[in-house]
This record gives sequence, structure tokens and C-alpha cells, in this order.
Amino acid sequence: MRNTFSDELSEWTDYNTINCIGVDECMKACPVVDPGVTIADLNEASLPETPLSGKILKFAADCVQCGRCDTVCPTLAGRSLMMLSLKEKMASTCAAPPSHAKYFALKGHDKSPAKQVAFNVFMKNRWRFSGADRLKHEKLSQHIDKPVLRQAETLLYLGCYIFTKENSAAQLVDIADRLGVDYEVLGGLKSCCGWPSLLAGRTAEAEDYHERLASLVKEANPKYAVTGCAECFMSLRKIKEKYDMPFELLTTPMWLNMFAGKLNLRRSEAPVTFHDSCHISRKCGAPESARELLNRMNPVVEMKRSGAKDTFCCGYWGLGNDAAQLKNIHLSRFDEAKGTGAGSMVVECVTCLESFSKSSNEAGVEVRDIVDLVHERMSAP
Amino acid sequence: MKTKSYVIVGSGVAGVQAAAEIKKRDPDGRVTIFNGEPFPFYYRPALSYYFKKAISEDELAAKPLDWARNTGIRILNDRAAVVRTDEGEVAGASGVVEKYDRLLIATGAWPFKAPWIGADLAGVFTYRGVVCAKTKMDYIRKNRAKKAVVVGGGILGVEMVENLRNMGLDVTLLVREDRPVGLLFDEEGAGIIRRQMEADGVRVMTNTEMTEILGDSGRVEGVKLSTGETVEADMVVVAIGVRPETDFLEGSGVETDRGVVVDKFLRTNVEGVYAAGDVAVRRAGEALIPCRTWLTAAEMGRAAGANMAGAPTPFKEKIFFNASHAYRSMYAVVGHYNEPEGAAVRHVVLNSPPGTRAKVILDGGKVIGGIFIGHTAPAWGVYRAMENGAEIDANALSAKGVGALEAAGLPQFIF
Repeated sequence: MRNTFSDELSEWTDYNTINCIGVDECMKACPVVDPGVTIADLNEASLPETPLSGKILKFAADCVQCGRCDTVCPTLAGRSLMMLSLKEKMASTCAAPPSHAKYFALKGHDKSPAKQVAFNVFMKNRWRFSGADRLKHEKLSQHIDKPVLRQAETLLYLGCYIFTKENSAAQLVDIADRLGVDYEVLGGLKSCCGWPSLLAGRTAEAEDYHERLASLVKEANPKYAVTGCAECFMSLRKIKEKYDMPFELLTTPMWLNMFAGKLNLRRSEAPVTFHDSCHISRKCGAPESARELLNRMNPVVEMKRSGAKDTFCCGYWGLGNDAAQLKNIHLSRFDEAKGTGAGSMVVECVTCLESFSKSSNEAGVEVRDIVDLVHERMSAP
Repeated sequence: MKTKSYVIVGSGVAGVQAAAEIKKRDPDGRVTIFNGEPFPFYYRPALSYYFKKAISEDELAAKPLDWARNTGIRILNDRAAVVRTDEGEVAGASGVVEKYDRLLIATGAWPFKAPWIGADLAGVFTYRGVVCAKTKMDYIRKNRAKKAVVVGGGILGVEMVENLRNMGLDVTLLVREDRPVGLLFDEEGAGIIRRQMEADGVRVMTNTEMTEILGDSGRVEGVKLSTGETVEADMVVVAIGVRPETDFLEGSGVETDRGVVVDKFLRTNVEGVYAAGDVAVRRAGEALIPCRTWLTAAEMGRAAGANMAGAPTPFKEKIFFNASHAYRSMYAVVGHYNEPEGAAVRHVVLNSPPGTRAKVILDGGKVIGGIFIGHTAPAWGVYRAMENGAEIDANALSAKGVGALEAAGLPQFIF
């Protein structure tokens, strides 16, 4: 009998290791470059009794759950879920890769009070010492892990991207102010969406985050829940379904399109290209809203791998697992962006933005968040 | 306690899954596999990918190279020639003799040999196994074959047509029935596949049989059809079905009837002898049920292995699920996809883009099957609905469309 997601995942994996017919399409679709493992290796490693080799461990850690493999499997064996199962096995049987350990030492809601205080001081100091950034982030600091949430029409769910060094979070709040929207902000470590835990194979912990997030959203009881992060979007989608919550779930472009008449966006004829988020475009099947918004501002030219099925992963931050791997992914994507002749590559997910920003200067490609573009093009006030 | 000796004849998916299951349950048991193919255990359904060079021979292997060594399973590269159940032994073609306490017959099924005049000409092939694939590839290359006739409109025939077309050959497909892939798809679904083939330049001839293979030079030059027409061809691929590989069991006392007959524990009529996979037929009342897919063969192998190792495990076929590709389209069929007769049985066709099909079959309010072509992910939703015995309102299903099924089919967490 299935009791938890973990039980379901085990059953799924057990079934699909024999449903897999080894055509290798998933490996060809995978953004991880040359993992040095075969399908047979992966299926064997998925058996409970098989220990994980070093190569399998690395591949499991590298997998970003983009789901590209799932769209090409003729037997619908769901390789991304099988990889998630391997991640789970990695977390339960092996020491966490250093990058994972570092991430969870820094983030995560289960800190001791002293660590929590130290973390808050660290984050605020980071803003304070970063000069011009200070003003930008002042609006946000009041919202970090606030003990009580106000009921408002719109909930801007920032989660841990409230700490992003990019401008997106602050700009989203500023746009809400300028539009005169009745909003509340949910952000900080205590409202984590759970995806970092999931990517590290800590599925039970990810489920805990979900529960916590669900109770916070219930408290705010919004009509609209808006987020600019694809993983946060996935989590909100799930809790909405699981708890039958009445809010309307929106990505930032979906939300901004609601104010199309009010934004008075200045138009430029310089073409831009758009990078689809794996989760929003592929897994949630919503590739159009960002393009609709973007088309109000610029002509959009498409990259070779675009749209719901074929978009190529940004590499996330991969929990910092493999910098060289990440760079390969970025450079391949930037080559495509350059090939379109567009001046900028626009994203709709803060994770994509953070990921691509690591290599954009070196590649000479301007990467912009769609919120950033709207913020710039909005007419005063 | 005496170490048990398990012998498995056949290194396909049923045999290998059984071996792994035995080792899991009886780690000290001595497990020996007779591998009659000049290649280790491989993904047989991936052969067409190997044929079109999308995967290498290494990638075709279905177990890691060190699997046998790591698990302590012995692989004898020998074909089992005789089974002597009285002596509890199997003799290989090379003369080697293996004693067993438990024996599994898992030799699979092999293509019917072409029964036509001219079947012995060079350029006549069947479609099964790495050797078949290699031989065909060599023949096409060496003889610069340009024209091919494929006989048989089942899924393997259509797969072969795609492979040959990919290699640039002119292909004629002969289908005895009124439509290709008729056993899997309904008329509309089969129509999608047929139109795709024809748009790609394949000549599809339905209600047509081959009567003779022509060739004066020792090689195929054409075929004669039941319509009286003659079609030029450099090669003929015959994909008209398979027969279980049971010849070596003659005189063994093991009961066969279009396969090795087994009960729900996959036991044959002879004590200590089991069968699983394509070679086996399960007795259910008066009926004999064949194994139809790779997945079922694997599950039978697991169950047989458990039974052989002393853990009574009745084999219960899960909901039928077959997903693969048919001429450039992915497809998935689930459950009672062929819409069985019944007063309350009906189907709902969901909106889907042109060139695709999404059909769900209901019995009353219960989902009992589905056919998906082009966009197949919702098949898991049908599977799960069947598993849960879910009641579904046909109108709501029509309104929600395939997306609702797609989401419902996956493990219920973040996705």
C-alpha cells in the first residue's frame, strides 16, 4: 500500500526499470553532458540492492529534473522520476555531495534559532554593504519570514528568491506598488517551496516544506498567488490541487498580462529571444503567457530548442554540483540565443536568471528577467 | 543445506529477470543461464534503434557488462539442445551438461519461417535478434538494395518499414487485413499511421498477400501478390508473427500447446520445471493466454524466479500497457484498448491536434482502456484510473481533455 510519495516513487521505479526498453532517447535528450553511464547502468542502480557507483552518484546529483527525458521516451518510462528515485537513494545511502551540504547549511528552515539570527544578519548585511543594492532591497527586508501574513487580494510568493542578488524580487514588489495592487509578500527561508530538498533527494523534507507552504498560503488566503520562480510555481500548483485551494495561480507574465492596459509599456523594435522554463513551459504546459507579454514590448525570435517540448534546461544552479557542467549547458544555450540575432535572451524564472547570469558576461549575451524588462518599460508612475 | 542449482534456458528478459530474482532470494544458489545468442542480454525492443544506428552495440546491452560477475550468475554461451527431466539435466549443443534442481524455460518465440516458394532466396529476412539486424544491414549495404517488400502489417512490420525508409529504400508494405496495425489500433488510429507512411512514400497494400518470392539469380528480384500483380524488390522482410521456441523440449515430457503450458505459479506439468516469457502460455480455465509484451515477460520472469527460489508468488498480469512508436508516432494502448463488447461499453474521443488520437474506453462510469497516438502521456492517467477503479464522468473528461489524465497518471507529489 502506498502511504507516501516515496512509496509511490519506489513502485514507479520498480515498474519502469523493466518497462524501459533501452532505446537511449532519454540520454540523448539529457542536458547533462557525457555522464559516462548507460541506461542499463541506471536501471541496475535503481534496484534497491545495487550500491551506487561514483558515476551514478554524480549523475544523480547533476540531474536537474528538467523532464526533457520524459518527453522522448516511447514507453513513457518517466526517466526523470527514476532519477528522482536515484537521488533519494543517494540521500539515504551516501554522504551528501559537498555542494549539497553547503547549500543546506546556508538555507533551510530547520535551523537553530541562533543560526537563524546569524543568517538574517548575514543577509541583511550583505544588502547593507552592497551600496546601491541597499535601497533596492529595503522594500523586501520587512517581508522576510514575517510572523503574521495579512490577507490580501494578491500574494506575491517570493520564497527564497527574496534573497536573490538579481533585481527581480524588488522590481516585482515595486511594480505591484506602482499598479496600486492590494498585495502581501511571502518570502524567506520558512516559505521555501521544497525544490532544493527534492533535487538533493530529500523527498520527505520536501513534503514537509509543502505542508508548511500550504499553511502559509492558507493564512494569506489570496485571490491570486503570483510567483516569478518556476519551482515555486510547481509547488504552488501542487498544494492548490492537493488542498483544493481557491486561489488563481499565476506566473509573473500571466499576472502582468492582466494589467496590460495599465502598464503602458514602451515598445522597442529590437528583437529579443525567449528561454522557456522547463517547469513552466514543459511541465505546466504554459509557454504562451511570457511570449504574449514580451510581444507587447519587443518582437520575439525563437531559438532552435524552444517551446513546451523542446526547451533546453538552464542547468539551475544544480545545487552548485558541477561548475564545468553548468557552463557547458550555458554556452550551448547562449550559442543558440546568439544564432537568432536577438539582442537579449529573456527569461521568466528567477532560477533561470540566476543560473544564466553566472556565464552571461563571458559569453557576451544579455540575459534579462521579463519582470526587469517590464519594470524598465512601464510608464510612470 | 545443499546448494540449489537453478538452470535457466534463454537469456531474454524473462530469463534474466528470473535469474536476478533467484539471486536476491537465494544468494547462495547456483544460477546458470544458457545463452543461445552470440550476444549477451540485450534490449530486444530497441533493435530498430540499433538497426538505424541510433544506438551502439554497447548501448543495446540490457545489463552492465560486469553484471554476471557481480551477481555470481554463470552465463553459458551455448544453445540448450536437450532437456532430460528424468535426470534433471539440460544438455547444450556443445555437449555440456548442467544438472538442475529447478529449471526455467525462457527461450522466447521466434519468427515464423517464410512458407512461400522462393523463401530460401538470398534477401529474404525475418525480424528478430541482433543477428537478424546485422545480416539485413550487411545485405543492404553489399547489394545496394533499393527496393524492399515488408510482409505483415503488425507493429514489427511497420517498425521495419520505418527503418528501411530511413535508409532510403522504396518500401511496399503488404497487409493481409484491411488495415495496418489493426490488432492494436482502431480504424481511425490505424488510418493515422497509414497516412503517415503514405505521405512518406511507402506503398501500403491492404487485403493483399504475397504468394511467391521471385528470383532467378539466387537472390530476391520481386514478389508475386494475391492480386496477380508483381512487385520488384531487392529484399523481402517477413514479419507475420512468431512461434514459441519449444523444439528442444521434444521428449522431455513438458506439456506444450502453442507454447509451454504453465499454471498461475508458472509451473509446467513437470515437477521443478517452470516457464516464463514469450515461450509460455498460461492456462486460465479453458483458455491459454500468451505473453504479449516485453514488460509482461519481465514480470513473469520475476515471478518465476521467486517461485523457483521457494517463495510462492502467483503471477498476476498487471493492467495491459504497451507504449512504443509506430511509424514516427509514439503510441500507447492501455487495458481493454480494443473496446470489448458490453452493453455499457463506449468510448470518448478527446480533443487532440490533427494527426493524433486520444480515445478513452469506459464501461459504465469506469475507465477500462485507452488508445493514444501522437501525444501519449495521458496513458498513465488511464492506467491509474483503472488501477484505482475510478469512476469518471464522460462529459467532464471531454471538457477537461487529455491534460487532466496526464497529471493524474503520475506519482502524486510535486509534478
